[in-house]
Amino acid sequence: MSETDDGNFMKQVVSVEYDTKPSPQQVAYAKDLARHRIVGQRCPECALTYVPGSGYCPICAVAIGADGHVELEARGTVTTFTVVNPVQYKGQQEKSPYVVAAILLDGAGVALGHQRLGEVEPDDVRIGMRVEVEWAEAGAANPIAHWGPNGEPDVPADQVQEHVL
Amino acid sequence: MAERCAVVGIGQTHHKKCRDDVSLAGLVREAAERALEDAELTFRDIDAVVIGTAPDIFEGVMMPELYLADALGATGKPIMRVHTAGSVGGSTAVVATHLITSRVHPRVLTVAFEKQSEGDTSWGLSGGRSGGTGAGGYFAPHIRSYIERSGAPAHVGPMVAVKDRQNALKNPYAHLQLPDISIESVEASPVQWAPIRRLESCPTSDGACAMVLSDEAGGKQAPRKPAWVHATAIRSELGFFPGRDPVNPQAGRDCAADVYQQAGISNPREDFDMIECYVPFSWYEPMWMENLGIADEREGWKLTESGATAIDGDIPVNCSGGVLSSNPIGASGMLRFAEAALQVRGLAGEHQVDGASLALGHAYGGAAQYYAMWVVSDRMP
Repeated sequence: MSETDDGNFMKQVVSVEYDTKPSPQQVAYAKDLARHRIVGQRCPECALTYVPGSGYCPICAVAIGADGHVELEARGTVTTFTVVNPVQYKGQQEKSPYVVAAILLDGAGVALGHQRLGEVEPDDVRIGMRVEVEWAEAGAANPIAHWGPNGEPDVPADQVQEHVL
Repeated sequence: MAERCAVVGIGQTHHKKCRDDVSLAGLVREAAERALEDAELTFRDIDAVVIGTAPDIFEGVMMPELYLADALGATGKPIMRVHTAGSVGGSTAVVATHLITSRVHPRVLTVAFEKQSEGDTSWGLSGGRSGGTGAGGYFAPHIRSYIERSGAPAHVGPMVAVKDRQNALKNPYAHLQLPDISIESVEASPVQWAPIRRLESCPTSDGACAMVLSDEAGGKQAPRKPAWVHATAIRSELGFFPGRDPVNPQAGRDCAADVYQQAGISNPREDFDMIECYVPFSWYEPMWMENLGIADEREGWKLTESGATAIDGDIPVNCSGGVLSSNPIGASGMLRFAEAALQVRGLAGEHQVDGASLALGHAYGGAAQYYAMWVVSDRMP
């Protein structure tokens, strides 16, 4: 993978291409997301709502059935974030800095990690900032284009900062 | 009662950006020969070999353990590989220790390594897809949360970055040698993954570390003072679950509590003479000081700021220069364990803490979800 071919390094091409089989829960989540619906799963015991859900609560170790499915608004709060200055490895398409954030959707018990923020300068992003979804054009691989500020006043940081994940 | 375990030989390579003077086999052999030389033993004296390295995709060599057996004198002997992501160097030493304490083998060679120059870790971590953020991009939000929660002043991260690089100047094996580093130069370095600046990050390194471990009889006969292993522990937790706190992970707290209990340590801040812990990004020093119970929650930064973790402080941390100065990933955990052992043996050279008698070696890996620790002393347990 070295870019040099000077005799000290011999170039080897590594290709990793494989199919993974998504779980039925992941398939259902993706289908809903493509219809611009975010469906989480609420644990019947602890009442935490998982987005996306995996069909069970990993804390209580109980199944979450169809009666636990709940639709959430595509709106939430930034709990933490970073501004990534992308490292230029082979295959990297990102060229300029961008913001990835953990977003706690309203009513969710766990934050959605590694979400892209848009419509905001990196320096203006804050823990506690309110955001809503910007859907991608039909047919995009990821139905979520990014999340952007929705203009609501910030939530105090100390109310969300425990939700790092 | 379990057999006692002694560290009787320690060796490491000169860690560099690119060790193109040696193959992977040459790299591990260099460390192994130095450890054997320290112990005044040969490959013939070794009963089994335990090796560890980070995921294969980081250096592009699949199952290197098969190809390295020959270079490590393991032909016809048991050899096994341990695999726990970035903590692997520590876990590898723990597994090797258990082969001694369980009386399976009297003398074990353990080696951990990484040749980052032959691969591309950022590529490996992303699986070749665009949008990979690397380890720094993954840990940066956790660091931001730590700073937000603790109210730590912004200069604490740069302080760690400077301290560890100044320690590295005393360690001829350390990769980064930055005599002119200052708080100002760290603050002026580019922000790579906000709030992590480039000079607050570890380098990519080639390097290996090796140790010869022995039973009690071998420890007593060792030509140089051995380090006695008083406690070992490994813990893990899921990378993602509700309520998980990656800033102060439960698995790290449990791992520390286990080794303290085994070693009879009630006040780690008082009892340890030095700590060598896995700090790949500067802010992990105060974070781990809290996780290890050396400082109260949200107070770890005060320890750093007061100078207590400096080499002349009352609880020196990372006297070798740490991961911030050398990061051959697979070896980085074992280098922490080896530095703790070197210190209690009194063989750490210019970065020796005077009279160090009890030390902690610490490693972490994955999504801050794997932990390995050991407590070593110059006194036999």
